[in-house]
Amino acid sequence: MDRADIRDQHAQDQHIQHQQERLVEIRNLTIDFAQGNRLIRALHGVDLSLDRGEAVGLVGESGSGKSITWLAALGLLPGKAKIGGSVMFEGRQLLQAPHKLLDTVRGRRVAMIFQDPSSSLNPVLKIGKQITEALSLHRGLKGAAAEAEAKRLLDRVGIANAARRLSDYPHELSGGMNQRAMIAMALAGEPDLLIADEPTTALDATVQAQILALLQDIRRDSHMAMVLISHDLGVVAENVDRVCVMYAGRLVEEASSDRVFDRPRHPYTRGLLAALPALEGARRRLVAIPGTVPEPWNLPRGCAFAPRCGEAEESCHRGQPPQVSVDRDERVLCFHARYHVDPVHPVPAEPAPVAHVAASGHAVAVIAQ
Amino acid sequence: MTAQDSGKPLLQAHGIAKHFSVRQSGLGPFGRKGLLKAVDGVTLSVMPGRTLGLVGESGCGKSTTGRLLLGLMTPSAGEVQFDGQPLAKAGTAEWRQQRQLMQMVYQDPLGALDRRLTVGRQIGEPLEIHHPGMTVADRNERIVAEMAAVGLQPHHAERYPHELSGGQRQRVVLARALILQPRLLVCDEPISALDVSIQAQVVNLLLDLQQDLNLAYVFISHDLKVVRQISHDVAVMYLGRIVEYGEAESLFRDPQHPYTQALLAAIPSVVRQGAPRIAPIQGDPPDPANPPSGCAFRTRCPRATALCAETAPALQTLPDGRQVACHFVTPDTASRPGRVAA
Repeated sequence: MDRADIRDQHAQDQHIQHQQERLVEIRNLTIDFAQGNRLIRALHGVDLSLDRGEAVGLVGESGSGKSITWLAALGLLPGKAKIGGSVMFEGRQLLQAPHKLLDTVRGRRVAMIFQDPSSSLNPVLKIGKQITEALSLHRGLKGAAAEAEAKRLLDRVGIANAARRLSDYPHELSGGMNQRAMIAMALAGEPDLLIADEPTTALDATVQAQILALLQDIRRDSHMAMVLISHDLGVVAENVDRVCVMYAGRLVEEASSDRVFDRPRHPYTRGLLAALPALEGARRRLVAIPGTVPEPWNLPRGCAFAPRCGEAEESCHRGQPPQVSVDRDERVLCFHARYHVDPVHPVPAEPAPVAHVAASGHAVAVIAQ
Repeated sequence: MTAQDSGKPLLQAHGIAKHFSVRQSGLGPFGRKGLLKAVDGVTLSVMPGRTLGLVGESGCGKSTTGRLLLGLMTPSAGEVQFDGQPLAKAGTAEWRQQRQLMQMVYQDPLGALDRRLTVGRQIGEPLEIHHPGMTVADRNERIVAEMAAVGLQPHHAERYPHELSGGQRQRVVLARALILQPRLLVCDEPISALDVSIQAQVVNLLLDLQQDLNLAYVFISHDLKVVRQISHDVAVMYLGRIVEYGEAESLFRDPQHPYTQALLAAIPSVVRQGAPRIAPIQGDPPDPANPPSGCAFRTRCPRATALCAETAPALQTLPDGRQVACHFVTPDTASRPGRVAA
């Protein structure tokens, strides 16, 4: 065996080891919806991967494709959606997979919780019945064993008086309690991945904080990976390791959560941050992103964000921007990403640049600090 | 506090309350009769051209308070005065006069608009009702002017609500509320249904309109960051009562009531400051039909003692003009920083 072979072998070993760490690998995922006799592309080739135990945040406005990415990956979209690309879960292809395989993954290895718990729960079944149903489906537990496990799960998600709550109907519980019950059901299959789709959007801030703390706690205990889908940048910032920002069916920025919020590179990410009011410091006028998100059937020719972007140049309107890998784990989909690799940080104190910044929509969040 | 400002308040509420008779939950028609105090003795005032933010968790009575302030509901107790006059009796000529000057903006613009009418027609409808003698040309002129004021193009007038984006729809609702040139707007979660980038547009628009038209707002929201952005004064409500009320800047900088502190601590932030955060409060707000004895917040309060279970604390005015209802916050204790370590 010569040296090159050894090196190859070594690389292969590393690759295999990496494969074991890798939980989900989405490559070039596209979704087209048939509308009349034409296809409308809702997702334009998304690459996204997730390691075991990792927490990734997906942010973006409504219609950006955050939720359908995962619905498509798990085969939960209606038949009129055409899905392309590849979704590997622990090395197995999920797209077009037989139902038998999907049934071992969905709900069991990958669980999902949604925004509105009271409409995800069955209103005419008791909480206990719904949890034991999940337990018998995913773990084969029946009778008293299932009942005991259901009680343990309700305890785990912080529902006081779990034994009594098992015989309550969803309408007898508060919104926060129902979301806890949903989480208990999601945990029934002891999943490796929890997809939390706007899990706290319908809840009050105080209850939201409790639910997010609970999710963190569960992840610490069970080494469960999590995808947190949210439009609330604050929620994402405090709860994930890595953030993906989506816009109009594309992933426009991906980086560690510290970096994204500290030094956002994509103009859209910077725009989102500048549009947020602060809770501390002097009040300043919000820098709104002009215009609205384009409809999927009415996308501009070039970069989808160009019509709203303060930095757009002619080239932005002509063609799709390339994906720029700024760093090992960082990607930005922007013609100008290179310019922002070393943004001025901290920003000079004199107020003049702020006016310029506001005028060009070139708002960097650090200005606000 | 508005009291230290010169001039007369535009809107004043004195001890307004709204009680509903309910049956205890779970037993259907056989439940024991009870009284649900949705709003229980709220006193507040709004100066012309100023904004009062009304915050609290769902079920705390902030929306009911908004409806009481506009006279859309009759209070069980207390009185609301608009421009020094008590709210007129519904159906009378004075009532119609008064109604023009106070308008409401709701959370869901699509629900607030009629899907079968063009938005131009809907913006002009209040004029048809209150100024039936106005010529069509005059009315159209006003519609176009009002649309321009909220950032809509004249061609939008021909569109139907479903043809507009969420942000544009909320602008339509605002134009319709403004066309009678009101002095007070009660906004109930006006931006909660909008996307993040659109929220900032509407917040800026509300601020601009206030400056141009000297509008007073009652801004009801659960989003404290937006409330801070837009409000001069803030009232924090818990289970039908105001627990803290004062000037927005100082209230957010140095919250005194444990509930206000908890609310602020619960807001996730993209700016991670090193300061230790207060542990999130536990549990849900209690059932308003069956409130705890004494202070309503005591069941979730980290500082609660036996005293809190016995007597409900009254609102006390602190040296800086702020009002707080807590046994542990008195004019003497207020001088030191109010944050309680968890």
